[in-house]
Amino acid sequence: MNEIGYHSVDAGGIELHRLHRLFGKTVAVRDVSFKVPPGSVFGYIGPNGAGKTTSMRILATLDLPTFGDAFVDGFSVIHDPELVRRRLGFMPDAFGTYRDVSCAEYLDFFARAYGLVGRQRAQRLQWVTDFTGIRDMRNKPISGLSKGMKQRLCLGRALIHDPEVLILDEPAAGLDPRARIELRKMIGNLAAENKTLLVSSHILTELAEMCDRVGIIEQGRLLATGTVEAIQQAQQQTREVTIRVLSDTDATLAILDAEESCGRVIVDGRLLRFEFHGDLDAQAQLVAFLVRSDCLIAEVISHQKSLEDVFLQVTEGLVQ
Amino acid sequence: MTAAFQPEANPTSTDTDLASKWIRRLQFAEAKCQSIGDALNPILVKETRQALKSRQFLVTFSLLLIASFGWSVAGSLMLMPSIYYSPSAPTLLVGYYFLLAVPMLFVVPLAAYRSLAAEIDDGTLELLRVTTLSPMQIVVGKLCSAMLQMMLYFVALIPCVAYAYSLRGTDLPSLIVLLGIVLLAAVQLTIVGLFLAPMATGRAG
Repeated sequence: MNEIGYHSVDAGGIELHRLHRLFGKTVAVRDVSFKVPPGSVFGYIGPNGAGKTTSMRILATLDLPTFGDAFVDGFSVIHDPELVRRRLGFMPDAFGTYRDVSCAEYLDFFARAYGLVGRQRAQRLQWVTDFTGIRDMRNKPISGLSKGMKQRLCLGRALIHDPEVLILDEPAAGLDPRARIELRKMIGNLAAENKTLLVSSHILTELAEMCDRVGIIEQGRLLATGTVEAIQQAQQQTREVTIRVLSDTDATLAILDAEESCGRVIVDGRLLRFEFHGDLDAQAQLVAFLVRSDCLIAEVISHQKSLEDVFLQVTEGLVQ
Repeated sequence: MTAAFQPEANPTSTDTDLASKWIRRLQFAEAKCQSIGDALNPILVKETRQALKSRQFLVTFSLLLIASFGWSVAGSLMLMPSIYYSPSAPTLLVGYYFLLAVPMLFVVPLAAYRSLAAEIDDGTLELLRVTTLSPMQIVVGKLCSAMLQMMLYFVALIPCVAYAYSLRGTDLPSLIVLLGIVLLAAVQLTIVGLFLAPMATGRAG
């Protein structure tokens, strides 16, 4: 089928181009641009109110940008919303289920709503129930499902029309560890089937294991994008070091204060905690220097910042 | 002389042919039904499934049946013995008319209103908006589902109306006009209900 529309330069996947969204004087999304290549999983991370859901709603054609444009599988959400909807599966943070409806009826309804008919609908229903593992629950009312099963059902709904692009808003919120692991597996399987996924969360560790790349957003601004490792490395030049000194702590403190690579030194009895800006070699040299300066060091504890620390470091915690 | 082979008429094979013929006919009918079902508005299908399983429909439908049966018995006894020699339809019809008016003019429009309001409140309208359904299809689907429920209430009361008609005292055109008026009023009220649903107080701002 030859479809004419506003295409992005790089067809396929997801692209946000200088996206802005203003609600009165409040800027929800401010000049956000990034690309998610086809077949990859992009994690969209930010605290509550950072602008994740607003950007996702724009991608899902539920809202319009004030400025800029977004493309799904190459089609503009402004100019070709109909074409975007055919290619997009959207799973909002709320379940959005109906009363007095069984799982099979729920999926069947959405299959009809996406225009699937006859055998094609039956095949997709079969595939979705198998993929999400709700085959045995087909005839159960939705009201009787657990949170994890409802989440699977909603993922099934988003997948019912076999979309190229999937947008999942906080899919793991409120799930128990087992359900999270299973969700992670399902996302991995979808990526293996060359689907493009945009997954949001406010927990970096949750996304780190399932995403190829992540973007950190706060107050509507995209603060960092790249692989989790790259962001971690960029932010982790700072290590947290704790040393136990048996000699005079004041003398050690004076040395540390004089060092440019050391900051935020806290004295706690014989323990000195400080931030060290540098790699492991530089840290070893510092310890050697302290020893040469007659500091009796009994213990050195050094650790990299966790993903959570990185997230806290990148974001300023302005919006909660 | 060689005679052409003439198979004996086998009653079992004839039965099999007949059975396979019927199977083909049924398969054809099923395929037709399925294609009709596919052509229906998805909202109509979903709403009808949902409504027919709801407690509200079950209670209203049961009450309508019980009340119409009760009025048939009570009205007939009330009209005794004149029911045997004078036209008695109007009295009974007035009762049936009021019985039908309750679900048609109150229950169904209110259910349509609540259905659309719940779509907005529960966030399911957004899910519908990301499908290929148009807003017009969503609203028309809700209206058609309400009309289908009206038809079910209507059909449930037809035996009673037929009974009243057999008691003489009314003509068919008057009956059709009266029932048409209640149907029209019910459809209009349902349209008003659907119109008001997005404007409920909680969502006005």
